[in-house]
Amino acid sequence: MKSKKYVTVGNDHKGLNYREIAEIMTNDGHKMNHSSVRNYIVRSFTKVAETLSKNYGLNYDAEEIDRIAKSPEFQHALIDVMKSEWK
Amino acid sequence: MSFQSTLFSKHIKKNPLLTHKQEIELSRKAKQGDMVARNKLIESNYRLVLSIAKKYHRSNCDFEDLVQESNIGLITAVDKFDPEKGYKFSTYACWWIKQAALSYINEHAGSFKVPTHSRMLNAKIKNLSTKYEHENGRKPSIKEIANELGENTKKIKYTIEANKPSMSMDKDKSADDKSLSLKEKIEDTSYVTNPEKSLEKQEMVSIIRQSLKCLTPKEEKIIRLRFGIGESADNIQEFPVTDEMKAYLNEV
Repeated sequence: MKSKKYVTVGNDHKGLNYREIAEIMTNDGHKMNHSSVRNYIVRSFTKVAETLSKNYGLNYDAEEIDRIAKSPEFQHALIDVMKSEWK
Repeated sequence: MSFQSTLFSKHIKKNPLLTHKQEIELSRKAKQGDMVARNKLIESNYRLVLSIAKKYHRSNCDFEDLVQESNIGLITAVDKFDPEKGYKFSTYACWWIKQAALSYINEHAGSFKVPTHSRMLNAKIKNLSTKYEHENGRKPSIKEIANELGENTKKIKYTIEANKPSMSMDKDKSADDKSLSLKEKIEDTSYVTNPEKSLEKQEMVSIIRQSLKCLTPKEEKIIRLRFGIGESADNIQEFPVTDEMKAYLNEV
């Protein structure tokens, strides 16, 4: 089965949608559209998964990191940690 | 002194059994609004209430409460009894008292309430299973029970499941019983008894915290906006508002 390129968990966290975020970021001087916002989010999860893997001493390859970053369990868990850390 | 001897015996001694004629007379008066006659009819039938409550009393329900609930059945019977039909009051009242007693038992017998209709269906299932086993030498299948009772298999399965007896995890043991209770057999996974796990969790959170630092401020802001982290939708001053939302707010 072909793996999905852009996977992020559903927005049930009372946040904004991609277009709204793109508008805010553009107003702040970071010109971007809704696709760029989505790409930023996907890339952020991948970055954290990669750093986490290194910090744990588990040198996963890019494919495995991609799989972890896209898993809803990982994304939900990370959002929970972010919520407690970034109050 | 027990409940029965203190409260009920007094009333029972004071109010001997009524004759059929007296019952009809008191009932007629009660129908016309005579509260003294109504009370007399109620108090004279406490014996019946006690006798039925004793019959239905089980160890898992409180006897005094059962008697009180049965009394409500008696009061209903007094209010609904029609003396002109010629029947004895006790014949009519015993069904109301039994109904009230059973209703109380159904609601309070188990750890949680199962609807009366479900308990009644469960009783039917049990009776049918016993009869079937006796006749055929094996227990009936769910499908056979459903066919026999004219219900669907899903309902039969659900009813059996809902009426399974429950047990307390804190069930008292006798002093000489050295076996462990159910509660004592369950592993305690709390951090108080597992300091290693607590430490592991703390370490994991610390690593995740470190890993989050790899995000740039721009990425962090996008994530915050997307998942509503640290932003309050009620706080319009701090919550980022899009032009579209501003226009909508101005319209409102």
